[in-house]
Amino acid sequence: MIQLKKIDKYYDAKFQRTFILKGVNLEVKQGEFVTIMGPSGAGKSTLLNIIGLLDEPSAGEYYFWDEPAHKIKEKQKVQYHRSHIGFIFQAFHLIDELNVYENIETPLVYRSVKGKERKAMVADLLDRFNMVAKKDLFPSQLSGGQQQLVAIARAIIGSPKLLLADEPTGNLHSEQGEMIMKLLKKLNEEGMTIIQVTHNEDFAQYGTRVVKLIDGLIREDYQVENRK
Amino acid sequence: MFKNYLKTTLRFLKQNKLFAGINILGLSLALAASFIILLFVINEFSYDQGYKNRKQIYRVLNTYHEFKTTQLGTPYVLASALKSDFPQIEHAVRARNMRGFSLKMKDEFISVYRAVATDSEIFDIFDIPLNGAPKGILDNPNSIVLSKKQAEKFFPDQNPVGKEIIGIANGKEQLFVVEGVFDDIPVNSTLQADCFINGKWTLEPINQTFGVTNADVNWDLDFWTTWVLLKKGIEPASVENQFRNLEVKNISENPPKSYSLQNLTDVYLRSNNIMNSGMKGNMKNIRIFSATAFLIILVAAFNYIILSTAVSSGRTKEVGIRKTSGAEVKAIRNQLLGESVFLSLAVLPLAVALALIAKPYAEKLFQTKLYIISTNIPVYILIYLLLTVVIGLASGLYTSSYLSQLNIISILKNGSVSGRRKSLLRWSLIVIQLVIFCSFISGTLIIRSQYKFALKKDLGYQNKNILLVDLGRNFKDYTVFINSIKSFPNIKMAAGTMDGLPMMGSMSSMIPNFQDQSQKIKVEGLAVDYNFLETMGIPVIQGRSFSEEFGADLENSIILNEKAVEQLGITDPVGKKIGNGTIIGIVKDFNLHSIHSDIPPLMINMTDRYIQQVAINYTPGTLSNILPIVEGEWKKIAPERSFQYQTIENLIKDIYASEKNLSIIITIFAVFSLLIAAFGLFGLTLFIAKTRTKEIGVKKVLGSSEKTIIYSFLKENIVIVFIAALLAIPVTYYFMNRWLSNFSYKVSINFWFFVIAFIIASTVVLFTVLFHSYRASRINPVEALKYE
Repeated sequence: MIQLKKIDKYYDAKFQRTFILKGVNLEVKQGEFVTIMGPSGAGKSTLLNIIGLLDEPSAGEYYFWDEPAHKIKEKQKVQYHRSHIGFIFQAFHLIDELNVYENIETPLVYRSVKGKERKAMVADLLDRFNMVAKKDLFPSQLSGGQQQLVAIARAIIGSPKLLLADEPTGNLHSEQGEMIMKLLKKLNEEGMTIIQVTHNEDFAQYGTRVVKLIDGLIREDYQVENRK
Repeated sequence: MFKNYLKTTLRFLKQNKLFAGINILGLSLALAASFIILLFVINEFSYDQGYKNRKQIYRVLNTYHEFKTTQLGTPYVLASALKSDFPQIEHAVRARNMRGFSLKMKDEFISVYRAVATDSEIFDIFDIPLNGAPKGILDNPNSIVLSKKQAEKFFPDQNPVGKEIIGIANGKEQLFVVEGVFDDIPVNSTLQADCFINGKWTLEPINQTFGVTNADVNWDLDFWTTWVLLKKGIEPASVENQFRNLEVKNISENPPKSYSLQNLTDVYLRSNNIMNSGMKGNMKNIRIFSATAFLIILVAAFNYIILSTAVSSGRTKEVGIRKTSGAEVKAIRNQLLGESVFLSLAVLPLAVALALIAKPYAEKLFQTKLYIISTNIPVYILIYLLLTVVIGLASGLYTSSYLSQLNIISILKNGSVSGRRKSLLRWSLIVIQLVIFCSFISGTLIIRSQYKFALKKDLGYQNKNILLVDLGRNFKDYTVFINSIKSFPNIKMAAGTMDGLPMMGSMSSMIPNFQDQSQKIKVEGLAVDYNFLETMGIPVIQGRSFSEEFGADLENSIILNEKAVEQLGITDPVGKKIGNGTIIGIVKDFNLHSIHSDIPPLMINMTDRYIQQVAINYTPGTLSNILPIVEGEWKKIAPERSFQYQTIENLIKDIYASEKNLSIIITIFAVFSLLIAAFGLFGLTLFIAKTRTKEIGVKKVLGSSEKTIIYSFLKENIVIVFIAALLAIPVTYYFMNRWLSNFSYKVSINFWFFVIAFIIASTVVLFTVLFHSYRASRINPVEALKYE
């Protein structure tokens, strides 16, 4: 599903080139739940952004569903964002001016889904996440865990093939974090491919595979044995 | 999708009340101001556009070669000659307004001011809706066609067609028959009429005045306006060429005048060089006002850009999320553009209401009535809407393209981006706003100083303590009046004249140069009575003034000014002859007209036939004392005439009223622009103060005092005002020099004007900024640093 070949990412300063990622090779198959781990500044988020087509590699090849993603145009990227990729972030990033219902609805708006259908889809998801009562609240009225729930709902409403999560539990206390991880695991079991970045060793155990990144290089890549 | 956008917009505005408030206030003020100006401008441009045949309708102009002047008086016979000799001309009519025409209602005669004497074909040329058959409607000498308004006045609740009405034409009672009623002519038409009557009525007074009997066929009496309707597709130039034959055939071998055509659509706004052309607009004012409207709008649009880039840090996150949710750059741009258009459209009703409230005040200011003309209403709506949408687009354009291009990763990582580029743009927009304000202010100061200069300038005669009494036409007993008031103690001197000074109109003749007879000099004329020069305090520097001791002065004596002596090349002028006149004296040059024009060569004659004004020189401070005396004498001598007077100070003030108004208008717009810009700055400093809380907190922890923090805010702003004031100098200099070139005598542009503009602008800016910078300096560093 995803294939990275010798991906480099660097910044040119005055006299030297600073590498964020160096020669990263990675293949992710459909149905996997990959956790990218590593210390701060290892390049985890950059790698995730490249996978999510938010950033471009400086060198190397990237195949997204066998398409050369390093070559595709802005327009097509927008298409991928609409139909193939969902994002969740550490800081939730909900639109403050929209309430829960409208936040979840936003991706459908860009996919020109009809109003009635939209309503049904959002209602279905709200039901699944037990948030029907909160649909009219604004992000500032929700707890962190609830906000992340909304963010996940928004990310998956378009039923993407790939869900990218950048430290989804970073701003949450452990109880809420566990709830989010259980949800992600459930989604994965339902067939969604997930790649997450996290610092938390425990939460890595919810996935199927761990990739350890240090100073832009993949140092370890193993399957999780005692999956939680 | 639209609903989603609308919700975000509304909630965003609700959360950023200050941003919304400032923008709504600024935009509505700017829109209201420009709506009023546009109302004026649209009306000015709409003149005569309502006539269906306007492209084929022409007015015949008449140019006198000798005087190099063009006017619209043509002979009565011209219209008939054009119809018989020119196959290209479909219709031609002459028209002249009747003087002193009135109609009888019950037992009273009521004046009808705009009674136009013309021919039936006027209705073929101008498509004025008419109740009745236009063909031959005025052919009967006693026909009259009334406007709807007049018809309702004289024949309330009945159909006037076919009814008789008694009127006074040329001083005699006549019986008229109402042949039709026409729809009231809209105000934006240069042809105005309350009623139409047969053209022959105008012949008698002209015959009388000139002691002739052939005004109907005389080619020298140019007192009628001739309108023609050319056949479709005829070029006016081809008709004008044939006018040359017409002139030779009818006027003389070597005609002193030539006819030309002016299209109806040019009549209102392009008649500047035509004398006595009646109703006309002022292209210069239209330009000045449109430019001010544009500048005000610019200031408001800049405000929007400045504030929206400032608050955009709150929007960037939304943009980032929308992008990861699959929004294209185009979709984001359209959303933000739509937002600014929405905001300006939301302001539209408020602006219209403000404009309606301000309209009566604006009418006073512009000194014109601002009509809402019904046929123009679609144009107003269209232009106002268009303007509003364009403003919305223009102000949203930058923000939308800026925000929509932002890099998603940096947005989502940092939450906000405050690039250097953005703040540079903001500051340059503020500088432009302040340049506009400073130019407005120094411009007004220059106009004001020129106005004061015009009032105070030594004109070469007394510009105070002179009372001008208007006699009106044919006031036979003026000498009795003058002699009767002369004897009162506080009246030093009194004298009659044809025109008071400064003179409004002008009369001129061409006089050959004494050295070179072939070179003719245009010399203006002034006709006065005995003692006029003495009354006005105009010194005679050579020879003598007019005097009753010399019987021939009334007929044959002339006095020149220095300029005339010089330009005519006369040496030893006293005693020399010009035509039948003998030069008896030379006066020092004085400003005959307003100071817009230079002192012309001048020839002063005596007259006893055309005296229309009496100038009274009185002891300073005794005006209230002498006025009742003069009025009392007037009542004794001419009880049937109304007593009309003016002091010379007021007359001079009237002459420069347009300069005064212009300075008031520009002052008001200056205040507007500063107000709007100050709103913007107020909002901006608030946001800057907010974003800088961390910096201020760190500084305070490191030991910075509140004073230095406030100072750092103020310093930045003073530099900006200073730059703006400097930039305003060349701009103001250029435009004001152009404006001052309308005057022959003018003030020099003083450096202080720019300093004053700088002081005003910096004071306002400092006070605006002070509030927020004071608040920012007072923050608790612990709070500020916890904030992250």
